[in-house]
Amino acid sequence: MPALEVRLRATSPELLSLPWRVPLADWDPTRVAFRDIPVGPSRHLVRFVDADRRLWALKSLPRRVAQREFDVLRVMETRSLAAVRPAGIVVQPQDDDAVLVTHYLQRSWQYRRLLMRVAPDATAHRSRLFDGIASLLLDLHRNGVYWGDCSLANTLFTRDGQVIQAWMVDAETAEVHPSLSDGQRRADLDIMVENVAGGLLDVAARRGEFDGGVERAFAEATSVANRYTELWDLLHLEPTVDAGATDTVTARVRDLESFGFAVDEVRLESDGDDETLRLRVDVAGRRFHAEQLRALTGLDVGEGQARVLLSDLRDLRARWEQDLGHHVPEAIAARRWMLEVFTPGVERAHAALSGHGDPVQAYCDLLEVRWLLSEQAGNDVGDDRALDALARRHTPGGSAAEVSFVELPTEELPALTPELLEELGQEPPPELP
Amino acid sequence: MAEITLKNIVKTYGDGFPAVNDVSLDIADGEFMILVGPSGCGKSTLLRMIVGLEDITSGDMLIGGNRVNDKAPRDRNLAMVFQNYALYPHLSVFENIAFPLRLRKTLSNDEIKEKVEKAAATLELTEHLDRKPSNLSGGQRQRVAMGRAIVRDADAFLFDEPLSNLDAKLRGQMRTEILRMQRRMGITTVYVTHDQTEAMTLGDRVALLRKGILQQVATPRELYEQPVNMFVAGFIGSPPMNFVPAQMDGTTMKLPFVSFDVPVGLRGAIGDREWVMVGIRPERFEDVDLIEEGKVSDGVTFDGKIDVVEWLGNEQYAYLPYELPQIRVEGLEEIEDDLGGETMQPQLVVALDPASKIADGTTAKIWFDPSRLHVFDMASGENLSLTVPAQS
Repeated sequence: MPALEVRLRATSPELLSLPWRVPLADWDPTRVAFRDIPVGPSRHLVRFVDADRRLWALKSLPRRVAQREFDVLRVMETRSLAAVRPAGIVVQPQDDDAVLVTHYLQRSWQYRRLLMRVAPDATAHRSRLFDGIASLLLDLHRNGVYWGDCSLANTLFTRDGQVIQAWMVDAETAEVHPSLSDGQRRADLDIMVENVAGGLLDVAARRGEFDGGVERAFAEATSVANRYTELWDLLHLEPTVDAGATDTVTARVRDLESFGFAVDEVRLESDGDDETLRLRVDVAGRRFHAEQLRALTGLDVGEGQARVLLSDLRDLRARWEQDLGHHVPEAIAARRWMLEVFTPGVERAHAALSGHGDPVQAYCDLLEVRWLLSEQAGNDVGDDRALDALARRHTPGGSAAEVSFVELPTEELPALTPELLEELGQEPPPELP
Repeated sequence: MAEITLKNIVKTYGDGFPAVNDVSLDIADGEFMILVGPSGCGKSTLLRMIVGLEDITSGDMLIGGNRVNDKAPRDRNLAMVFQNYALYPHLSVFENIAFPLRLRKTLSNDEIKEKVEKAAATLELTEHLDRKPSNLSGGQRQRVAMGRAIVRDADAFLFDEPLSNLDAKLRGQMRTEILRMQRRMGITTVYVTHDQTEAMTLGDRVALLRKGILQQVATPRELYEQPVNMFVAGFIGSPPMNFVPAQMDGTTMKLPFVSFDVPVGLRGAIGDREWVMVGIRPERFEDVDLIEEGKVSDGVTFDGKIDVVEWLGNEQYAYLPYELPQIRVEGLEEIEDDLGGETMQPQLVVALDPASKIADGTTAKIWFDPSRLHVFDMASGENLSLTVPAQS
């Protein structure tokens, strides 16, 4: 019988004092602050615990598997990949059990809740969600991570400007390699398509739309793979260019940057022909706009938010230049934008949403809603109407901001009481190999 | 259905490390083949090359006679069972099995229905097809996941340590389910595990790998009774085979705890070696009080100092420490490492009949039949006794 071994990377006193000797299934909900966060079909028991005012996800699983998942998550953390962050692993004295502890992803959504509330014809929202999955899988594959079980249930979603960022929350089947073979990538894509189709079909069945849902689910799932392939091809395109054709090189770099990819190195290699060269571009990461914004303002935000904020900054700079009649250096414009536009804008937008959610995201929503309302009206409607729309939670259809109204923020999650546990116990989530 | 043929398969990684080194293996149509070995032996890499997840550095991979080295995983028509086994709570059992077929769009509704019903019959799920997964038992849910693999009409089933994810209770149950399904369907199956119990109970044949090299391919019984070398002998069997260094003096074999005349048959195999490694399975020892009197003189009896006895109900194990002679053997440590580092403990593990009254701290008379010994070459680890004609 193994001895208890607690390894935590977060020295939270309440976390340390949890009843680690006891199997997770037997923890007393009157003594442990469980939170009720429904999880998708999972083969292992998952519980969410409030400790020192933070939420933690605890998963009970065999020791070997727990250790492997912990190791994979550590690698993903060092590579800044979008996965939940591992907080610890506890080897329990019973059988072969261990508990994997991860940080709960703040302000994240589960697809089931999201899609249950987003109608099938809300294609803008849905395609944001699917783009998020495609981008995540692309990022993982570029970094040598094979997932092996990419699905809607194994993914959480956060908002990042007008895009949705997908996060890997289950790495049980994941493997880290120096690089992936085409076979690994294709197999991972095939698994994802089947899983996503299954997840969508399940939601359709729940909404009573199974019959019409089959075709749509399969088309949407396939679209994720297509989106992935487009991006993969974009990154791996190796055009032949005429020697000295700098325009082609610049255009290629711009193209990649417009998708957020920061270029690390451009290589021109001779194919043995003196006239033409093969153009290869190495991409560092997908934070091109985020790095630019950070250099200008010190703000550290997601790529999606950075894209929105940079565009806001540049709009204002253009207007100031027009007003002043002369050039304004970007750094000067950035300082003024921070002080006079961004900071008060964030405060007002966050207040309009009663202080819920991420303040920077609230400002991004304000910008988006204002733009959409102005487009409808045919002229700039100003901040006040947009703030009002946000406050009333009545924003133009298809706006990214709409998504924030469909789900409870993390902080408002109800406690998992013994009564609730019993209720859940009557219809336990499928427990699989 | 198809046979799977591996011809001189090599997998070398960027750093030149050969994860799989010149493996040739014929997996017959309908055969249940186990790939087993310690961690890092190349078993998973081999499976992944069959599936198409890993590129093959050199050699040929044939499925049903066709070379598949350059085929995408999906085009190899194999099913990885339990790869993704999430069941969807709002879909019926029928739909949980059927939906991957719908996704392919090549089958009519009637064809899908026929396939699902056939799979359900095989898995004894027919009466549950209209239910939701939440109304099924744990074992039934796993059978639904298997159903998803069955309806694909794959040429072979592949399993990559499928039970490692399960808690101890479900593991045994699932092992039986997998075996039952394979026997009913008679489908070619390749199954990777690090667990020798799984290997021995499931496989028609077992391929044992070490450091990327195939050691032996044989039925579980052959592996157990005729291991080709020390590594195989030490890996298969629980508790593992005892390895004891032995010095030859003419026809006398000197073990640290007893000397005896070597059976005639073994003499030729040992040749003029001074030292050999002797392997004796724990269950080959007997408490001399419990064997027929006539049999005693057929074997060797010695006085063993009993350190501890573990009584497990259906069997008991006695532990007998002895002095290890001062002899250094090239390569032995490596074999030890691969076997988990406990092979060369200077103590015998003796499996005794549960009726034996041998007790802790006593000296007991222990018997064994020297013709059942395995004798290994000290340097190569090769099993020398295999050249000896089998004796009853």
